[in-house]
Amino acid sequence: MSDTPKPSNPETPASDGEMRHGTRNPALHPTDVEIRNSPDVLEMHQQIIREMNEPADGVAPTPVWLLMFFFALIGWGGYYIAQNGGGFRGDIYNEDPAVLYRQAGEGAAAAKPVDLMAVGKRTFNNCTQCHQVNGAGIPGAFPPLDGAERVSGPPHVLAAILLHGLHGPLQVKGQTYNGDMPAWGQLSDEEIAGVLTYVRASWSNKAPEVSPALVKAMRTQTASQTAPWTGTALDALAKEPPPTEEAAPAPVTEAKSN
Amino acid sequence: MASIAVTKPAAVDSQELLTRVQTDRSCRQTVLIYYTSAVFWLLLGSVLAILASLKMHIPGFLAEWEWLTFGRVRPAHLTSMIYGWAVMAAIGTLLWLQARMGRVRLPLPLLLPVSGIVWNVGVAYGMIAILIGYSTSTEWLEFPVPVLGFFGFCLVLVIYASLVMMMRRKVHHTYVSQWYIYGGVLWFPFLYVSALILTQAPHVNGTVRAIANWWFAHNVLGLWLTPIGLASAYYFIPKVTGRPVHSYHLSLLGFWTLALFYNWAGTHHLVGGPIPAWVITVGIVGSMMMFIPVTTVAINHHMTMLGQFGHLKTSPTLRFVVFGAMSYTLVSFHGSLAALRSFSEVAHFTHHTIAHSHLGVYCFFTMMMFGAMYYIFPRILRREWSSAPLIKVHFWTTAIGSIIYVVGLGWAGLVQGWMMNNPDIAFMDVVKYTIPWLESRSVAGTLMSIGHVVFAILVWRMLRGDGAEQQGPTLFTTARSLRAQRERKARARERAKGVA
Amino acid sequence: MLVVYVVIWSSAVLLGLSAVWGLVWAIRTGQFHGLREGAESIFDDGEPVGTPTDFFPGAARSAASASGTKAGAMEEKWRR
Repeated sequence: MSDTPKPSNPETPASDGEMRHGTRNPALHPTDVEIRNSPDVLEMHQQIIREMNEPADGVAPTPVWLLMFFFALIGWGGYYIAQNGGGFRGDIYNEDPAVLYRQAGEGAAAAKPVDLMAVGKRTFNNCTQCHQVNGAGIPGAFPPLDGAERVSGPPHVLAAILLHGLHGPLQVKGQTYNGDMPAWGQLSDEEIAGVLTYVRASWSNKAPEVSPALVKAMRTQTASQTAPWTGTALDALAKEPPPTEEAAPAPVTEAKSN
Repeated sequence: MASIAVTKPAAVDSQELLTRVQTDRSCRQTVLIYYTSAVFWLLLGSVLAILASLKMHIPGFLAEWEWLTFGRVRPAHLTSMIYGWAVMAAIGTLLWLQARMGRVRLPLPLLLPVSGIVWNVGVAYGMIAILIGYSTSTEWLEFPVPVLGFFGFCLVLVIYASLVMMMRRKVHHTYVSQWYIYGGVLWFPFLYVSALILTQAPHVNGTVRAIANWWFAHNVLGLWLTPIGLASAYYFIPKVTGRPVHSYHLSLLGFWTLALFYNWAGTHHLVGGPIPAWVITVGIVGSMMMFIPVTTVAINHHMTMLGQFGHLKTSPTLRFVVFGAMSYTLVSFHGSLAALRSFSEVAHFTHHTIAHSHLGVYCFFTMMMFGAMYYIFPRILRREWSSAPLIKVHFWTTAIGSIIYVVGLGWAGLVQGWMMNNPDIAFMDVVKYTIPWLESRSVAGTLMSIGHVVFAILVWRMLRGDGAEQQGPTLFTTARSLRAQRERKARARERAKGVA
Repeated sequence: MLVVYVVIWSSAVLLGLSAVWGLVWAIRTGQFHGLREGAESIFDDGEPVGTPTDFFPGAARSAASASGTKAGAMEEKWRR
């Protein structure tokens, strides 16, 4: 408003009723006139009125609970990275903190021995195609493991089967099966011991566990064998004493199995 | 002085109207080319989608032609929908939005329409390559590498046009939608090129490819489709309801936290995979941090809509956009929680993931683009839509279809995950369990496709000029706003008389 | 291989820097001030706050055609 109205403006409300406390001198208060005369006044106030009707729009403050939630979330993020971040190392693959720090070399002494049942359960995935998840096999094609006499029998025979496979007729639970089982010598001693322990302790089987050392001894004893076992050879093997196990090596860690 | 003040509002009024009309006019060719091609690819993608869906429960269906086997139809569906439909719709929308918000004309009036054609050639080339068996077999990047040439040409032009509009803009303030658009436009080419190098270069092998692949696939959604979708929501919800965004500074916080966190989230898809633990952990934390931008967006969209739901009855745009906004909230919260290891162990590698991605790309992004198209088509063609009932049919078929799709397949995926984690259940039993749900997906997909056909008919009739011609420079000017305008002018005139 | 590394890393760093530049630019040009005006920057006198702008076809047509001649005249002028 650059052009200040002159004090002598005819619209000056000298005797206006709203000025109860005496007339203001228009010469001293030129803005009174200006405000009254300005055509923008209504327009301006309409703007204000309109916006006051919706005070929240565009400027609603951030709720405090929201900020608290955000801070809590960021805190959780830091905690989670610290717990599961694996120290940002490229060679740590397991997010479980307990395993993770052992892998990182912090406390190798705390290494626990292999849980053969866990290893075995995982390794058994290789077997379910023929022997099925419930160990029942497929009648007429693949012999069962559940309740089979040989499974609960001498463990070195089982290790032998896994190391070199089977070929030809075989009596299991009164049934004769005539097929082939591939050799699983490519599995580690732990894995073979694990899967044997697993099948010997699952379903209705209740035989004791098989040690990796026994598998190792069996592997050494039969190192020269190339053909798979036959039923008769197995029966002969069952009558032999088990191979002598070497002294158990230092506790095996689970590092590899994860 | 007084007289200037009186006449000024009217002068500004017509000038602004003229600017708006000119901006819309300048977008016509470009946006039309991008939009109509997008609709074409949407239809093609729908056909491929139904084929792929049917093959899931009728494996022998059309299996005798090798170019219609599942392994080709499914990636063809995905790429048609993403690079044909979603990206082209996104580019059309973002160009129009930028011209509108900056109140500038669209630059490059010749090159941008050409870029639309080039993009189509690129997609067509890629689609044919996939169908005849030359896919790269990297998910989301199935197009052969040379397609990058076509896409790169267009993206460079789009970036250039965006920057020019940024420079020339008449509005000093950068509206939140513009932030999202600039972000998306600059991120997407970077993502595409990096992912292409990291998945296709012969030096890069093994798990690095998997990491780069999921980083890319997730970021296409989060750093390209999401920004454009949210930019549309932030523009159309206030614009259609006539009510400013509920909390504007929350919206800015939302943009910057999205920029900060989203990039990390992709690797949560690899939970349990043979990659370093920290990569996955960071991905999970990034996903969880997405709660921050998502909460801000959810608060803004839903609080802006609060008390305005009556507009849903009267505005086609708002229906689709609000459906999209609600789906965005849902898909984001679900995505954050699904990233956690305990959930991933179940839902991973099941139909649950498929349901989730359709909740994101379809229920959120596609519906958002439908809404944008319902707003933009009439304004660039200066015609009204030809039929309100058809719009309603489009909305209800797509909405109901997508809900059946997501709920059915989401639930089936969870049960499938539990069953697969239980070693006592044979794998074939799991497969058999999912079949009814896969059939429900075919039904849902058919419903959605009917909606797409209806939409295509509407667009076709719009192009032919069936709708009523627009009456004023401001389309859909309401009686209320016009009356308010006339009254304002009348008052100003009276006051001016009084002063004189 | 080295080239790939250099390209990827430098572009990633550039992208990060561009975000920082954008933030600094926004603060220095006052994009974070006047948020109320910012929120209303998509409205103007023709489509002011409080005016819905989208309807099903036909719903607003009668209103628009009754809008008076001025808009129509401007429309004609704009067409030419």
